[in-house]
Amino acid sequence: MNLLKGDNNIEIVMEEIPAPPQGRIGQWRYRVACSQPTIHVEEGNWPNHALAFDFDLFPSTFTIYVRCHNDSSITILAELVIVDTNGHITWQPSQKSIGPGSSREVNFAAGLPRVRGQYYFDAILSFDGVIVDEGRWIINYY
Amino acid sequence: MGNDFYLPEGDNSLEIIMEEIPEIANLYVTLRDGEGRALPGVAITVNGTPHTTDSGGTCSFPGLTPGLHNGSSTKAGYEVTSVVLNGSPIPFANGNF
Repeated sequence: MNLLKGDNNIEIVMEEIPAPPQGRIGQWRYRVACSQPTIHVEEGNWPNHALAFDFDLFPSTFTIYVRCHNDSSITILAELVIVDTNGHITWQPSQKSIGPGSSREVNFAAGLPRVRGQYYFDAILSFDGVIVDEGRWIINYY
Repeated sequence: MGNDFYLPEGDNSLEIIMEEIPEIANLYVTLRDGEGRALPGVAITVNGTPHTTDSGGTCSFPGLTPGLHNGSSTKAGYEVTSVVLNGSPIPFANGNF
């Protein structure tokens, strides 16, 4: 800058750099169903929707179905955390890549011992390491 | 403004010493965000000397030499989008102007 003799006034404008997207990008469609039998199917949109299920029969597998409505590819890390009535914890991670406008299914085999009682399925779904939705299935098995 | 002085009859010798008045340039900085709000607490550096903007987003660098100088402004999460010197936009890049 070239300063002149005497007084010089400089006005600087600084603007905040927009933060990069943090996980909650656009709309994601999901559907969750268990395989035997299909007691309950839950559908909704991310974000702003929490998963909540009640099963009255014990599912052996269930599927989380995700459709990408974004313009960019992204990786889904879905984890099924199972806590049985004895406090034993098992978990199954599954990682899938999903492209623009496409959909993928993330399958889990629950594989729980058929012991009567109440089970909790905690599902955590994250995009690029950021949790975007999580929920608990409460299963009463008689 | 001169002073009256008395010259006696005959020859008089008058010696005058003049020194060049140094030319100085004062720089007054105003820093705002994109909404026109003052940005306080931001470091402004001119020729390697940092000053920090006050609550009104201003700081000053008095007693500079007229001519070319290097200035910069940095604030985490912000970028310089406009620099106007004496009413005219001047080039800038990466916070340097």
